[in-house]
Amino acid sequence: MRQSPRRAAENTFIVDEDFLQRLERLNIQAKRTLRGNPASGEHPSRQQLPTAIVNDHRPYSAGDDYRHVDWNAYARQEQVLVKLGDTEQDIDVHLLADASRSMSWGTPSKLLMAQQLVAALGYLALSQSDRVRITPFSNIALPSFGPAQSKGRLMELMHFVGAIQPQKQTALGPVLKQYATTHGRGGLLVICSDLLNDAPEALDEGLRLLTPPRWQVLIMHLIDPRELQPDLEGALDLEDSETGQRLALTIDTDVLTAYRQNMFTWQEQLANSCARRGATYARIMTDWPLERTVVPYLRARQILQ
Amino acid sequence: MAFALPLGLLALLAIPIIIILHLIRERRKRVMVPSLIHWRKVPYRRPDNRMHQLPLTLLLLLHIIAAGLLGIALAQPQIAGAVLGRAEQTVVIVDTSTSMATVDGGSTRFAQAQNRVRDLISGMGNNDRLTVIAAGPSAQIVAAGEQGDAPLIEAALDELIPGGTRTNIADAITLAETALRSDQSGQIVVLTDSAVPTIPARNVITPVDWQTIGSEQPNRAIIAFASRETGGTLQVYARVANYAPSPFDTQLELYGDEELVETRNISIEANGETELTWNLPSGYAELRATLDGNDGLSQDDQALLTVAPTRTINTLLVSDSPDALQRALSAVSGVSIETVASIDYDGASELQQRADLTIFDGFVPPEWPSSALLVINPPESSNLIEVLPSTPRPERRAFNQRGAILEGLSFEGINFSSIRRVNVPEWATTQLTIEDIPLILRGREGTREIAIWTFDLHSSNLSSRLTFPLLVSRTVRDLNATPLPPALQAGEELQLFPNSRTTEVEIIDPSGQVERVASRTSLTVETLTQPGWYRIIEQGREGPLFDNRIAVNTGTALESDLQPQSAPTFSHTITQSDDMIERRMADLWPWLVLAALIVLAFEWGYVLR
Repeated sequence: MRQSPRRAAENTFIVDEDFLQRLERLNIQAKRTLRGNPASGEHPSRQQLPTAIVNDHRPYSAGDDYRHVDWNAYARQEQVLVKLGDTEQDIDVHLLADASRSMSWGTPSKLLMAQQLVAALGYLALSQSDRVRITPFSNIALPSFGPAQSKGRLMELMHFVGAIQPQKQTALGPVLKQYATTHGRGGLLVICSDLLNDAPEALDEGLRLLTPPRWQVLIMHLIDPRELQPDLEGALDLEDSETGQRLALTIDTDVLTAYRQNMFTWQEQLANSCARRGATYARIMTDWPLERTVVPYLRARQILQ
Repeated sequence: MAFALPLGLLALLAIPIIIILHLIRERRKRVMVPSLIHWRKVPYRRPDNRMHQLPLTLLLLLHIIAAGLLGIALAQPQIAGAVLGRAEQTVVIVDTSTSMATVDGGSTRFAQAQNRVRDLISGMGNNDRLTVIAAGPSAQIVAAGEQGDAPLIEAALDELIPGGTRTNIADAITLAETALRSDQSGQIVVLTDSAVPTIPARNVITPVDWQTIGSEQPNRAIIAFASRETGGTLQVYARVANYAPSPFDTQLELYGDEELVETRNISIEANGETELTWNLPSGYAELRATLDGNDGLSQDDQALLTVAPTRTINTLLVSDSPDALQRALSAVSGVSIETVASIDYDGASELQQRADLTIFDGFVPPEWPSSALLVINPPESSNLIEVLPSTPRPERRAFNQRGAILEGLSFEGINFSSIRRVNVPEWATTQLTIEDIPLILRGREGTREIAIWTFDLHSSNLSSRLTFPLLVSRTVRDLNATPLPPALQAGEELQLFPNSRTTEVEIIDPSGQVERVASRTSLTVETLTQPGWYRIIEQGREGPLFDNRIAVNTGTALESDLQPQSAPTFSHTITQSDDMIERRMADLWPWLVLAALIVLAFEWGYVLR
């Protein structure tokens, strides 16, 4: 689909370095159950190791560092205990960006919002020494970026995100299945998609393989306001932006009401599927400013803190 | 607006076809949506539902406009030049017949027509032209001019008076067509109460706006009034009509010489007539019948009549043997005879001055008198008539006669033993010859009527035949003025044959207005349009030669019937050979085609936007 120059300029991905610096103060809320490497990272880990900050004890075992023995407890209880504390870890952050043709619809496009979200979350992950993998997808998983774990690869990440182009139609279910089998370690999986051309059942099937505790799935459902309130009327030939299929329809108030009801039901089904599979569902409108609306919204949903 | 090719309007049938096509296949605007998955789930609408509802789209509107413009363009519409800014010419025909004097709604129909003309005058544009034609017994242009001439037109309009019992609309429309200027568009406006003779459907070069003035009204009228004398009794006849849907009872008064003779009660059926007769003693010179009509047109409630009008012919017979002629002349009614011998004839005598007709028998004076002349057997010594030497009497008697006065007269068996061979003057025609020898000549020299009989009456047996008094009577009537008719219908032409000594004719209408006309041999008077007595005076050098009255009546079946009449049919057609009309009309089809192309271009841009 050809875009006008003005529309193309509005949909161009641009990195705002000041915004990224302000974003650095936030953290991605990863679950403790995720597998990570305690050698680095800032996310709380399920593992407890001898640390200086004590919140538990265990009996001493041979080989433990004497520096972690709680001598005060030994004096009171005549039992050698080792002081245990919470450890931090890095996690695998998987960012899946929908690159189907339907994502390029609207001004600003949903793809631009996805690019901005992926770039922001990727930057946060790199800042927190997480391993970042960015994978665009349409009906298959496209060549991905990463894993990357240092801010030194930030520019490379930004270039990759900016180079994402609309491909074919979406098939999220098979992509998630494939992704689950190839990344058995798990991690935080963020999906930025409009979830179109996929029945809620297909998403549910994909999420079945991405369940906690190994996976923490966050689905950011990108919606253009005109998808909720179409400004259409009269006899029209509707053309699917992904498949090119057409549907002759005479749109009146009754048709619009039925359409909006379909949209509402569909979103309810998506949210229910996500809830059933332990995934977080967040609906994000494309006309929301990223810093003023999207980020506060994610903080409110405790995705960021 | 007219169409040069009306069949082209059939192209407008494309409009319903376009609507049907739009109903069958509604053209849809293509819109890209992210996905159809939610649109597919909306309730399906059956396509045939659209058949019952016309899709009022801009595209349909553009198609209808384009088809309409092209369809009308194919019919080659032409429009009057005034619409395109040219000057407009209006010819107003105002019915001036008596029925327009009917009081209808507080004013006469004629006053209402005048007001409509004044409205037209006030509505004239700068270069517009208005012509007013009065349609009475004859049609005539009474005023014409542009906006600046409005006061003159109004003044001429104010001088018009309704009168006359005939409305010559056909001639008025022909006159209006000729009055239209070729370089201007125009229309003809007819203001009438439709009480006009039936006009056959005809073509006119410009639209005719027939405006009927007045409403249906009852009217009673005396539509016939006549008399005759038989055996010392004067028989009078009158016919009274009731033009109303209900019967009418009234009184009719008959006056003789302005004295009431009889009042008679009459009853007339609805839309019927009744006939009345009276037997009166002779002696009345003028009669008047008056009806209490109780209607809006009082002019036809009275009828006038002159009883047996006569005109005395003073005849001077100059003859040495006048007996035969005297006998024949005495049988002619209205003839007064004075006889003198040729030796006693004096052209300056009072007798000669008073004579309407002078008969010279075997004698020709040195100078013709001013009266009409019958010259019989002119002598060879005449200086006024060239008489050739006598010729032998023809053996064969083959007569060749022509002329109205000799019609039905037989000259067979008449022996013309002495015939003067006359050189036929240029002003004379031969009415009777025998073997190419002229016997009777007739002609007019100046204002003088002259007849010449070339034969000797006394040596002929003509005077003993029936043909003679008839020939004398017809010749006398032919040489002299005729009497006035007993009565005329208003607007009817009066043919006057004044006395040859008349220099001027005075016509005094019922209101006392005098019209003077120079005398001619024959005068046609067309101004007797008002009901009443008209006085006709023939003035000679020495004074009045003839003074009599003539009655003018207005009651006729056509004028007195005030019930609505249907307007005639006029078709406004344009022929290719009529260059004048073509110049007045402007073609519209190029503009319509241009507009259609603009609409189609807009439609093209709308579809490909």
